[in-house]
Amino acid sequence: MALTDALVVGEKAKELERNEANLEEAFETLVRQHREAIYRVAIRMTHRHEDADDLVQETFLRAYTSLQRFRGEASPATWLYRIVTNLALNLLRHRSRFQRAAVLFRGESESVTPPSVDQDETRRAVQAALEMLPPSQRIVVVLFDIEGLSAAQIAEILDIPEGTVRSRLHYARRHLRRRLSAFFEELDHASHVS
Amino acid sequence: MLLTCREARLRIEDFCDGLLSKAESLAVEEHVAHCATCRRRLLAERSFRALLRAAREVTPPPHYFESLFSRLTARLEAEQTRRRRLSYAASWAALASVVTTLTIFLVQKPAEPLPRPLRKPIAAGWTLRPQERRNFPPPTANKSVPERIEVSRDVVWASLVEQKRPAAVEEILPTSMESLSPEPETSDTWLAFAVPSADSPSLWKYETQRMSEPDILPPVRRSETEPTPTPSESGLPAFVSVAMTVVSEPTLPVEIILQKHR
Repeated sequence: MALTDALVVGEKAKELERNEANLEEAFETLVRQHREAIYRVAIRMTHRHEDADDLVQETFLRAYTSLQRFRGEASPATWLYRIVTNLALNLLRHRSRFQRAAVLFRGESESVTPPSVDQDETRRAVQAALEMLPPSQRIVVVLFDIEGLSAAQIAEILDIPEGTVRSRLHYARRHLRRRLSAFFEELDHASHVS
Repeated sequence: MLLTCREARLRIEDFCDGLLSKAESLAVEEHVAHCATCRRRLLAERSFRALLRAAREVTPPPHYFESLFSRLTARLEAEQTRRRRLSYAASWAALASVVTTLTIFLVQKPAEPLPRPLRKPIAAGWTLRPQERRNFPPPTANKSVPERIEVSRDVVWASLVEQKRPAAVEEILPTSMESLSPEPETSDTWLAFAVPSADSPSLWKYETQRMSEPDILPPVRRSETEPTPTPSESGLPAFVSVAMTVVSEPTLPVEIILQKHR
């Protein structure tokens, strides 16, 4: 009897070890497969590498803590996009409030432009134009036009109606066309479409 | 279906997004095949989309992606170690709290109650000191002048515990032991000031800043407005609430609410 018990305990311990090993393996795969995409969203939303790195790490740490509970109702990519999106929007909201507080405290602006992460002039221009957008529009452009997600996926990630996604996209693009018109032939498209 | 230039123009964005029906797409294609102006518009829209897609390329520091997994693993391990230590320390703190409370109860008479005690003493040996409470003046009638409020670190921690918000406590625990330990000589000072909310003149917004390292971006990432809609006799709010987010590490935000009754 004692021997049977010992065998059962031994099996359970092995199973736990296997589960832990599986979890770590799944986590490593998740990180390897999605790290570039999550970093792209983070850097296009925040512009600063340090902030983007924070967001990327926090996204994956949160994913790890709920990996065992993840039941595949959404795709892992959608799930990670949702986490990084929420974190990025929170960060931008807080950054904006902090900058306002700093202005009130010190009577000066804290909005110092960080060094650009883009070597290429075109990408720098796109990043600068993106930063002029409100975060709620910026995230839609990042997910749709840069990441290539569908409006339905973005609606799921942001938990808003698909129509709202399309309307934010439309207004954001109109602004971006104006800002980036020097880089392509525009033909006054925005003003006629609106 | 024959489209006018205006109709074609209105469909170019949806056409590029692949949102049109087959018939509508064909109509746009037919129109641009014959209309040089709309063709140029379509090409411009495609160039614009290509420009945005080019932003997919990012250049993080060298070896950033390669080292990411090992850094995440290191953080997970560090966090687990901290949790274990904290769990051990919390057990001793709870025991010490019980012993202290019993000693005070048995040896001394109860102190005079505060004029308006806010809440009961909190768990794990932490209390809100009366003088700390008095450091929270209500907003002044002059809404244009920011009101500075000093909040020491242990009050922030105490308030967090006091709210009995397990999720928030849980979240701050891994990093709070060192940074929020009750050592008065190393206590940080938090400044908060009240400004009228832009949304409604009857609301007060509290902005906060950690002042111990004024030249470094403080670890306060958020300050929120708690409505203070109850006017007192003098026309000032009867109490104010300060909601702050303390970020003991940049990635661990915790909401904290401090409340002051007049």
